[in-house]
Amino acid sequence: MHVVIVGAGEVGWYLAQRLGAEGNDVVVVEQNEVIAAAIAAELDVQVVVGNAALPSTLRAAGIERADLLAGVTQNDEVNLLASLLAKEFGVAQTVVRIQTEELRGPLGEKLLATMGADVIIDPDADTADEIMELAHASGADEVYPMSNGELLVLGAVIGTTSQFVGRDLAEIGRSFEPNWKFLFGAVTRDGETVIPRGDQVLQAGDHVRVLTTRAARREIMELLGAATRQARRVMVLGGGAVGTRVAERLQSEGATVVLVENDPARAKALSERLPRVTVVQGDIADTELLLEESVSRMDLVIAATGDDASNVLACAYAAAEGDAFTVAVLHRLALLPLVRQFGIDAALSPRTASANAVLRHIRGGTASVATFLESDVEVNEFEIEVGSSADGTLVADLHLRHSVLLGAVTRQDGSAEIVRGHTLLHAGDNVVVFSRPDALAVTRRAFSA
Amino acid sequence: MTLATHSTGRVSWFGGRGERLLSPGRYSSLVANVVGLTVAVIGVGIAASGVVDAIDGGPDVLVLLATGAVVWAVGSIVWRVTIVPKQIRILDVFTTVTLAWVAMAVVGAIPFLLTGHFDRIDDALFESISGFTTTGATVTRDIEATSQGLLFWRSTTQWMGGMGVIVLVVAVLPTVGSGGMSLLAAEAPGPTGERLTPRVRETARRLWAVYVGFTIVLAALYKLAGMSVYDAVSHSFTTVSTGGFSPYQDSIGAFDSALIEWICIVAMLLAGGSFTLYYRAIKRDPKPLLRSSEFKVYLVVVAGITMWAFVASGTDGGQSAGFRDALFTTVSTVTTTGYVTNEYGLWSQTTQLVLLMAMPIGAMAGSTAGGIKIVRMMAVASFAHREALRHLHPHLVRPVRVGSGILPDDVARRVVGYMILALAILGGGAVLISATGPDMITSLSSSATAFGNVGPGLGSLDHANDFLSIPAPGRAVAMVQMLLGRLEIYPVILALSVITLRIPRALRPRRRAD
Repeated sequence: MHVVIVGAGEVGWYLAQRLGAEGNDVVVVEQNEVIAAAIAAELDVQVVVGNAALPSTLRAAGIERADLLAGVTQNDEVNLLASLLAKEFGVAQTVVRIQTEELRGPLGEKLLATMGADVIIDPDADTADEIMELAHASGADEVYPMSNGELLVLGAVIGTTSQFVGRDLAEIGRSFEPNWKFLFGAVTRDGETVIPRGDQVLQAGDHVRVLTTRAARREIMELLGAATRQARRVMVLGGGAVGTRVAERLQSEGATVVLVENDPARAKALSERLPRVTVVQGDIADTELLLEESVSRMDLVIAATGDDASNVLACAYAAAEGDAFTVAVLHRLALLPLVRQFGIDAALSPRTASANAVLRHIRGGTASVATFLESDVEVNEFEIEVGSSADGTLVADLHLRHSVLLGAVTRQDGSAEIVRGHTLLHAGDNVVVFSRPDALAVTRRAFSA
Repeated sequence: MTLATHSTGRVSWFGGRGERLLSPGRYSSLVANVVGLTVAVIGVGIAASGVVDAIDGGPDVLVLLATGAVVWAVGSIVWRVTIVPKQIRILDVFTTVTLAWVAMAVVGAIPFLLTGHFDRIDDALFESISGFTTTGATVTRDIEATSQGLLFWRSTTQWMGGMGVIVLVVAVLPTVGSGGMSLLAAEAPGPTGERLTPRVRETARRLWAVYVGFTIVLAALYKLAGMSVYDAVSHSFTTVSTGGFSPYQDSIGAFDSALIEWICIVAMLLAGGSFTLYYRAIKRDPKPLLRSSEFKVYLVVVAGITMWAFVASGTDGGQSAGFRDALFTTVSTVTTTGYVTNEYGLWSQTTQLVLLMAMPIGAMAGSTAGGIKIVRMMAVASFAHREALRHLHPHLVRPVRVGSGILPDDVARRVVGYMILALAILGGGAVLISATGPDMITSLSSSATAFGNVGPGLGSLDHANDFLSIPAPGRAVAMVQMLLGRLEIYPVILALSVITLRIPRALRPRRRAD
């Protein structure tokens, strides 16, 4: 597949990396020469320097051959124009990043439909969605909804008090017969991620990704020894697009929310827009201010400013002063491995949230996709087509590769279950699969006719 | 009127043929122009009362007609020889509104003197001010012995003062451009003036149209409920304006009709609501009215006080009130109308105290009611809440809200300042009145009823809207309070400061010749 990515910012960079790893031809169009040189040096992609709103630039990027264009610059107008031009050149699919909130309403939707954009993404909205999932998941550090939210992939670090410590997966599985509510999809230890088999022994400190039904999420977090209390008192640091959305939603769910914003004018605007949120003006790295707003008594602290260092600092301080669950938004992926050392419970990046939305579309239709920051394991959802080898087959007879783990199946009536060897698959079912990118094509073949 | 000629730029030869004849002598003065037209309008009202007296065959026909004609002529001349300046300064606006009201009070008092109704100037002034400010307190000894024409003039003052003569003048003035809105805002009840249309003249016209329409419908209803045409019009005038004058000593109670009282209750409630929102509702946009948090709080306040009066009036040795009496008295008090149907002076002390507290508060902004207004109370409550929260969150950022709406900080500050002044005027007025003789409850309630433009009081004031028990110096204090209450303090204070600043300047010799 020939893919043109417009803008080598956070989202574009991550998208180029992911799509390149899957063996696609990726061309990145970037206006800034320094960034263009950086991405060319780092990733195996072609880079075109220029303005993507110009047909000549797009032609240089091979737009005539392209199957997909993703306009993901910070500039809505450039993204829209690039998408319009791409449609003129006959590109089948376009993805457009729109940050203007008003354009996401019904009127904007109509306009965007007229302009031919297939997928609209908004990293800030997607990040806010992810933070909300974290706030609801009582202690998980990553949450990815699959199959319309019936299933969740939860990331968590196994606590020392967990009954799983020192036991292997086969043993754990036996103790939960006959119906499994969860399944270990990936285990990360010392920076190495594996898709586990039955002989995998779990240790405290392992970072695991567990596939579970939505209803069982609290139970599994308790079994992992990572559960936290419900977020009733929340502090949101940073009143940008992400922080504002999160504060608004938590507030409407009945939590007491304190929102800290440094810019006085912005703080004033927020105080007018969010009537029941306590808006406080000040620097989030000012520990006096955090103490003043009783950071030690919070259940959940979310740092979502544009400044990574401040986010890490504020979360680290909150973790040290109290026992709040802390979530930091990070724009630089390189910082991510360091974050846990500061006692921060979860970190996420706007880029992965939006990239998942794009990947989901590329892989076709309603299926869900989850990718993880620190490993190349991904979770994909496939629909079993009529006449495929999986149709009418037991899971045990599929003979999938070792780097592929079939995790759960969603029936046509919407019910979801964790699969066992004796689970029978039918056409029309959706399956959730853990795999490495190189096994993706083979895996997909098993489910398509 | 020396103030009126402060800007003496002569107007050149603009305009049509008719205007050119007058143009050479026209002075550019906002104050003189507006005051002149105001006086002319009042002259028409006085003459109309003369016509009413003629129909009744009363004794005051000639006096009222002649006074009306002279007043109209004088006002018209002043109006015609002046012109509104192109540039209007905001301070001129306050001076204009305040002086126009003083002129109204003085001119409106003339019929009371010339007909021999009063022989003291201050009594006539009291009646006139009480009328124009829609207070409804009176110093008339025997209302029913007064001629129908003069009583009609009494009702007319309230009707004119209700929506505001300035609003009417702006509706008539051909050339009030930029300053018109501030004129409206300075006279209109409530903290913010709101435009209904891009042109201020249209806004003023529409407000008056709603007001006149309301008056006509109500008069028809009163007539159908059994009043004579004269009574229906008089009471319609003083209900819609939340004034409270009645040609009968026993007020609405004189009719002893449940139907009339119910009509009156609903009409008073409506008159206590915002006419701006009514206009929108009539134009098929009822959402602002239904969503108005002030409207909701207004209704809740009325319901709460009614229930209190209904339940608690009989306790502690008081006389128990029927539901209709409780509702009528509450609505009459909260809307600052001041009609009376029953002896609420016999109710329990706490119930009377609740009524006393309600007097200076008044109804909604943009209504014809007097007093502080619900919206200001809401703003002050929100302000106080914020300041309390600031102790917990020293860096708190929070707007002052009225319901879901946001009050800009400068407006909020003005409201808080207004409240402080209002409390000072209420307290200071009570002390001054009490110093002239009346007992404590009488003094407190006369201060509250005057500043709130209500009418009846408590103690020796109950029932009859009767200020005769207050000595003349005390009545003078009440007169000032009525004006301060109606104009909502700031215009009066600003006008006074302008006048005191200007006088020394006027005495200095001029350097530049114009």
